[in-house]
Amino acid sequence: MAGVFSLVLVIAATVFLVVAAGVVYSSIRYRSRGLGAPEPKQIFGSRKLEVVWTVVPLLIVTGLFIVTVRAMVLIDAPQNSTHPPELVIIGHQWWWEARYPDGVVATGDIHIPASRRLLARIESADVIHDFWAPDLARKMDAVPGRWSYIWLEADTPGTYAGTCSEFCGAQHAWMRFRVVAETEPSFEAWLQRQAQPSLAPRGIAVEGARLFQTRKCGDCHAVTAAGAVSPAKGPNLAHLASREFLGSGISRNTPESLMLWLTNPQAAKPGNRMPDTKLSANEARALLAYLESLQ
Amino acid sequence: MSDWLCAIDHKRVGILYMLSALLFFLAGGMEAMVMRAQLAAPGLKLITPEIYNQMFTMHGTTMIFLVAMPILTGFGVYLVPLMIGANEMALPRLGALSFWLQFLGGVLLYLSFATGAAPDAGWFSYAPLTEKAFSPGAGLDYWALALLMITGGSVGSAINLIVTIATQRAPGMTMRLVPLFVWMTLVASIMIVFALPALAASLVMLLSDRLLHARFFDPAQGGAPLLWQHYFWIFGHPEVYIVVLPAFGMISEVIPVFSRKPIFGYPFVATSTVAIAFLSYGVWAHHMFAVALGRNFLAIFSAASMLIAVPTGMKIFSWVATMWGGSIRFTTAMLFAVAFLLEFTVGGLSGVAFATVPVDWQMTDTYFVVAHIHYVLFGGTVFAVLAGVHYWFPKLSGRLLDEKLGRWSFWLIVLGFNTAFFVQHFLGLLGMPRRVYTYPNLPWFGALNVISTVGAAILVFGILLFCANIAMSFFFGVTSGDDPWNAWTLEWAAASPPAIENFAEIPTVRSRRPLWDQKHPEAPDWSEA
Amino acid sequence: MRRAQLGMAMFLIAQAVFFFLLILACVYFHALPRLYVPSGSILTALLLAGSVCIWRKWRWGAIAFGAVFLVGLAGTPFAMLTAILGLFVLAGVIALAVVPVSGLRALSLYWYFFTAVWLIIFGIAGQV
Repeated sequence: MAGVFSLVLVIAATVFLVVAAGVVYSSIRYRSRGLGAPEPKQIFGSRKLEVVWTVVPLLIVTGLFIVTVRAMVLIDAPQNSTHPPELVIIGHQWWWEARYPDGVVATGDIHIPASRRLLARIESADVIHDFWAPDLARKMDAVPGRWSYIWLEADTPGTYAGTCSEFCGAQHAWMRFRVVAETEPSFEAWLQRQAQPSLAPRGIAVEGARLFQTRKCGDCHAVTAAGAVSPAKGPNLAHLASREFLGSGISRNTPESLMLWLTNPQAAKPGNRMPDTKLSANEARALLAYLESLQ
Repeated sequence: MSDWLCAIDHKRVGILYMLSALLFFLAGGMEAMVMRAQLAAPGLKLITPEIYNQMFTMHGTTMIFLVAMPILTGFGVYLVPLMIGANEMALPRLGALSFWLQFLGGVLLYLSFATGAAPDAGWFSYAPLTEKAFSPGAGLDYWALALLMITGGSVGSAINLIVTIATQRAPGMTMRLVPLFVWMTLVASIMIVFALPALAASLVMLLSDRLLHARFFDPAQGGAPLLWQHYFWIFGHPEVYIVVLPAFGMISEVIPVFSRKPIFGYPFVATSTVAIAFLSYGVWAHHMFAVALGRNFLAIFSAASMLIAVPTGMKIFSWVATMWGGSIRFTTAMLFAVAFLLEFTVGGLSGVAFATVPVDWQMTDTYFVVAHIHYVLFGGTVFAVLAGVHYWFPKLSGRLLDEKLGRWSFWLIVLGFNTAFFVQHFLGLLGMPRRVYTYPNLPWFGALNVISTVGAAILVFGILLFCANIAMSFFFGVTSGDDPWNAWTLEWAAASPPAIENFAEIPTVRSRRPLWDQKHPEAPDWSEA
Repeated sequence: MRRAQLGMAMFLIAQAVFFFLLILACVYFHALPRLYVPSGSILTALLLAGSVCIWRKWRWGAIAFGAVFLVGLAGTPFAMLTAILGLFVLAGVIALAVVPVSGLRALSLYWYFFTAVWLIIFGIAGQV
């Protein structure tokens, strides 16, 4: 891909320099000698020159087209293969959900094994989004009602940023995600840990867990990753306490930010779909403790 | 006042278009400055996300439909009869109606602000975001209705221009002898007739979905969101050529006069325009490369999109060749025309980058495309119009624009424009998507954005200086006379400003440069082989 | 008036593109207007009669047939496509009443065009 872009850049720079040279040279060399200057030779055209500057660009774009098609074939995943995807990625207003073949669901951080090409299916639960992890894959629009496939591949382990790249409403700006690429054993371990529920809550977190059900939080948010309903109405909160970011990147995962989500979701991410919870201060504290126990 | 409200004389209607376009240009510019202020640093909260989304929607809609199209229509309506030796447009009442439809459509669009619900889904408003379920406010209804009115106005004025050019030419002026501005206006007008109805159909279907419970675009009910995209871009891509071809026509008038040479290769410039018109209907899906439409389908549109660069590039070379060997006078008009050559080339080349599908698969919907569109639409159309204004202002008003003020505004605009938009190529390459009300504090994001904002501020200042020039020169400018530039096309034979009946006697023409023939009886154009 | 006819031809090209795209979308979604064949046939006959009147340059006959068509159309179940066509026919009927004789040539093109559009809608609707 970098090769294709470099080629385009070289072609563009060359053409621009040719045009600029013509403009600059003419501007200096053929500057008028003053208002009384005689009219220059009236030239109407040159068929030869016209042919040259039609054929040469035509050859250039033909070459570029061949390079383009070759690259497309290399980059693009098959859209109707029988091979099941290794990852299903679903865009929602305004968060991403990743579903693994064993039933684990992750939100926000998507872990993958590095050094392997993965087939990912891109879906949308509502409007058109676009999954864009610049270092790892081509962009792909997530169109509701359609399934689209991409190759997702990290050459080396690391954390790679990504974002939604198709305007999808109020919080399109904060529909970011991270892809964490790990070595194969590391990835397997992560997958196993995801599938386990968090340790049982203690102290006021127990009250928090109870409130989570009675106050209907569980209607939208699952707290286990394994076998969760997908697509879900709200982001999966399994292992929430071990996340670095909240709200698809809008804030860091601190007690203050989490408390804001509990007490005033619209202030945490204006326009998002979480209804006002109307929690009392005590209820909020209990729920906060519970959420923080979700390691 | 009622002279103007009830005007049907093409010169009055033309000026109404120009004034309307200027008004909306300032509105669209303010929307842009609000956005650039909000983006000056990461995490700013100058405006809410909802307001930001309304700003970029109104900015795009305003600039395309209420500025670019009307200003070019205005110049067309004003100049075409003068250039073809006619005293009036063929269908004057249709011409006036078309202006008012466009203007009142714009008023309706801006009324949406007063209701607190301006449209906020982008100037190309993709479904299903635009369905009532996801956009319950009335903003998009205003948007669709206003655009339907504006569409009616565009088609009306296009019809008027086509019929005028077809039936009102002076004796001897065959279609092969018309000034290139007339030719390009004709081609653009024919394109309007074939493209704008696609927008109208899309808007009717959107309104049906939103107000009549139809389900054209709603996937939850069996509709197809992609249908909107196909139909919209079947309009949308020809549209961008519609707003650039008449601008090309202006450049084709300005560069020859200030190089003191005829346009290089008139037949090729004219024919390549027709090629562009046809090809433009076959490239629409390049706006949809990020959708899984099928590799062969995408490859065809990639090929067509690369192909269309050839007739476009041909024109750039022709304009440079016109300058070559000339005797170039750098009036402000010529400065803008030469700047156009460089800016539009940059924009055209970044367009070729997008035709290269794998590059598009990274760069579409980022600031790289924002840079591209502004280089072609601002560096292209607006710069060409600025050249045209400086060139034809004497004809419209009888006075010259101030050259000193012109130069100052030129350099500020060039500096501001390039500072604001060149860095956006890099922002896109670094991963900043478009249409975001803010961004994370990633390396270089803040720095490049603040540079872009400063550039935009300089650009605004340059534009204001230009407006001041217009206002001052209109009242106090030096008298220009009929033909201040020693030009060659028929409009310069009329008075400045022209009498209500443009020509006391309709001239007979024998070449593309009737006034050259008159001024050079020893070497008229028609004696060339 | 060559000018009026050329202008009308351009206008009708634009309408042809508009209706083509709308009809295409309706066919794709099997959402063409549901027209009960007998009443649909009567409406078709009315429009055709109007066309004959225009052809014979009998303006008020066309206006009469057009008006009855519109009343009849208003009685059919609402469909976006026929509603839009109805609006164009209404505009045509009003134009017929007010336009001077010199505009009749151009207006006749308009009338034939929308009769044809109706025939296409009704014809395809019958098949799909």
